[in-house]
Formats: sequence, C-alpha cells, structure tokens
Amino acid sequence: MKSKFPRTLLGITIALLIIGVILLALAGYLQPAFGVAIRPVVSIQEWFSTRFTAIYELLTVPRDVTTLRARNAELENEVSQLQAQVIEQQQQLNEAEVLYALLDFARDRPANQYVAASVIGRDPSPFLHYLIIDHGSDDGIIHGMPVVTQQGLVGVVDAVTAGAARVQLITDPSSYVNVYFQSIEGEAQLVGSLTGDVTLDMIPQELNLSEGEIVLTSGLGGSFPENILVGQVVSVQSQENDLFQTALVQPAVDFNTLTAVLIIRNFQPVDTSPLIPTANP
Amino acid sequence: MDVLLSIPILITALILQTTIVSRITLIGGTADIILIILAAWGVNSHVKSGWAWAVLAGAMVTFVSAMPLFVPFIAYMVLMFIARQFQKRIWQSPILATLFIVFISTLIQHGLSILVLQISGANMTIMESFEFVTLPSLILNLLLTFPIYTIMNSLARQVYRVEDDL
Repeated sequence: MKSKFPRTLLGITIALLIIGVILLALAGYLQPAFGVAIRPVVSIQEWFSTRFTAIYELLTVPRDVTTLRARNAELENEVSQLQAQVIEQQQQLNEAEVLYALLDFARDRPANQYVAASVIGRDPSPFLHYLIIDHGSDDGIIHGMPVVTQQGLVGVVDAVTAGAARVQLITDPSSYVNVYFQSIEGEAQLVGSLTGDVTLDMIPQELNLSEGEIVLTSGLGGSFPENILVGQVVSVQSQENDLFQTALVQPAVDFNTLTAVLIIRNFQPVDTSPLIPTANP
Repeated sequence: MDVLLSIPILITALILQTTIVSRITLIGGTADIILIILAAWGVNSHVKSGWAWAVLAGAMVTFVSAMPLFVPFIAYMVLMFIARQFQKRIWQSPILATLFIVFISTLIQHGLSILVLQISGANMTIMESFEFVTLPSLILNLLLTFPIYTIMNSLARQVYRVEDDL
C-alpha cells in the first residue's frame, strides 16, 4: 500500500506534466523550444532531400529528355504538316481565284466555248516565246485556236498532241496580230519581239494615235476573233520620212505569271496561205 | 545499260528545262541543261553511247520546241561530234574540255537558231539576239557546267564500274 501511493502520485504527476506541456504547446509557449529542437532535424531532412532529388533526377531525367525529344519531334512534324497544309490551301485558293476570274470572263462572253488549261512549261529555246499547256486534241483543241485569259489575248495554239498543246504568245518574234484602236478609227499590226516587247506596226501617218489608247483584235486575217483586248499604247514613234508610225504596247496579260489560260474552242481560224501569192506561177 | 539510262535522265532534264530552267532568265537568256549534260557525258573517256544520247536528246527537244528545221537536233549532233574529238585528244582535263564544248556548242546552237529564225521572218536582229539572249545564256551554261559535270562524271563512273563488274 505504501509503495502504491508514490506510483500513483508519480503517474498523476507525469499525466499533469504531459497535459501541462500539451497545454503550453497549444498555447504557443513552447515554439522557441520546438524551433531549437526541430531545426537540426529539418536541416538533416533537407540535406537528405536535396541529395535524394539530385540522385532521382540523375536517374530519371535522361528518360524524360528522351520522351520530351520524341514529343518535340512529334509536334514539329505536326507543325510541318500543318504548314504544308496551309501552303497547299493557299495554292488552291490562288488557283481558285484564277479559275473564278476565268469563269467570269467566260460568262461575259457566252457565244464562245472555252477550254481551261494550266500552263505546264515553256519552250526550251530562249529565242521563242511559247507556252506548253496541259490540254490537247483529246479535249477538242486544234491548231490555230486563239488563247486568252480574263485580262486579254495570250496567243494561238501552234501544235497539239493528245494531252498537251504548244501556244505561241503574242510576244514571240514571229507573232503577228491584226488589231484596231478603241477610240480612233484605224488598224495596225501587232508584232512580237525577242525582248518580249510588243509593238504596233503599219500605223498610217495620218492617224492621231496617243498614249493610253486601247488596242483590240480586229479579226482581219481570220486568225483571231475580233474585240479581244490586247493592251494599251505606251508610246508612239512617228518620223516624217517614214511611211508608217510605230507604237509600243503594254500587253494586258502578264506573261511571266501566267498559270492558266482559256482556249476558244468554237473559233475556226481561216487559213489564208493559199491566197498569198508565191514566186512560182 | 548506258543507252537505257539516257531515257530517264534526258526526260527528267527536259522536264526540268521546260518547267524550271526556262523560267530562270538572265536578261533574255536561259541555260540549256540538256546541252550541258550531253557535253559532260560525251567528253567522258569511258562513254561509248554519246551518239545515242545526242540523237535521243535532239529528237525530244525538237518534238517539244517550236524551233524550226531541227535546229536542236543538228546542234546536239554537232556538239557530240566535237565532244568525241575531245574525248580522243584532251582526256587529261575533261572539265576544261566540257567548258570549251559547252561554250562552242552554245554559240553554234544560237547561231543556227538566229539564222533559221531570221530566214523565217522573225522580228529580231543578230546583234540584239547576241546581246539579249546568247551572251547571258553562255554565262548561265558555263556556270551550270560545273555541277552538271560533277553529277554526270560520278554517274559515268558508277555505270561503267557496274558494267566492268558484269
């Protein structure tokens, strides 16, 4: 009995101490003491944590880099595909714009039957101004058919195969087109040249031709239908001693950027060669 | 085998010529890659099929071009004749020989073209043609001779090594 009391008293004392400590801790009185006690533990934990993270990264980061690289390549590939799609759609849009313009031109002239064709090449010789188009006799194209765009006259079909045709441009040095002027009465001959410039020849001296005059096909000679826009007079050269005036013409069509053309299918060119007198009787 | 090889190579060259090379102009001149290919091939000491290549190239270009009176065909045959003479004599420096052949052949081809076009009544003068077309074309042809010669030379080595192995 004697020995039990002090044990009970000790237990009660310890319990009171614990409760007291808990109450002091809850009240915040033990913070400085906890701080002093925990700081070394935190430091040690921090040291271990840093080392562990370093080792973990050392072991795991290469795998992540590989994954990231793969992902990056995948995304880059996707970007490239999207860029290609954008470019392709831009090209389709450009082609569609050209075709819409050609369609508008064709609608304005319902009497003519057109075949649209893409330009796929140029003559290998630098002396000649010819185009190669992707439609031929299979599409009803024959030699001598006029070729136009929504802007104006391009040239004439020179040679035909089943799936392609060669077009002589009006800028070719061997090209001749009979033309007339929109606002003054008179006719002339449009001649191509090596440099790609087109000039008007055989303009009568009495004709009062001025810059800006619109030039259209006259239909004379039977090679082209009449009233197709050819271009605009840029400058006029007239000398008193000459029989005729000459003039430089700015073509309505930009031949360097030509991508699509229309062939007038229902125009029958007239072959005047038998009517031209030859030296032999 | 080398004769068969001429078909895809010359067709590819003709497609490139009509679609790309003819659009790349220096003043009014353009390069003629078929002419350069023939010169580089014909001057190679191993090549025995030069005439076949020239006939095929001439036929193809004559078919595609509007140039009258077989001017490309005649020009390529003359080129191959000159190349064969060089092949027999100056085999030590084939690149120089190729440059010389390209130079001479371009002048011959353009001279023939100017002559034929003038006879047929084209609106052009000799001086204008020479300054506007021939001189720039000469420069482009000579510039392109180096890469094309390298390609054709390595191709010839491959072809004739294969044939020797067979």
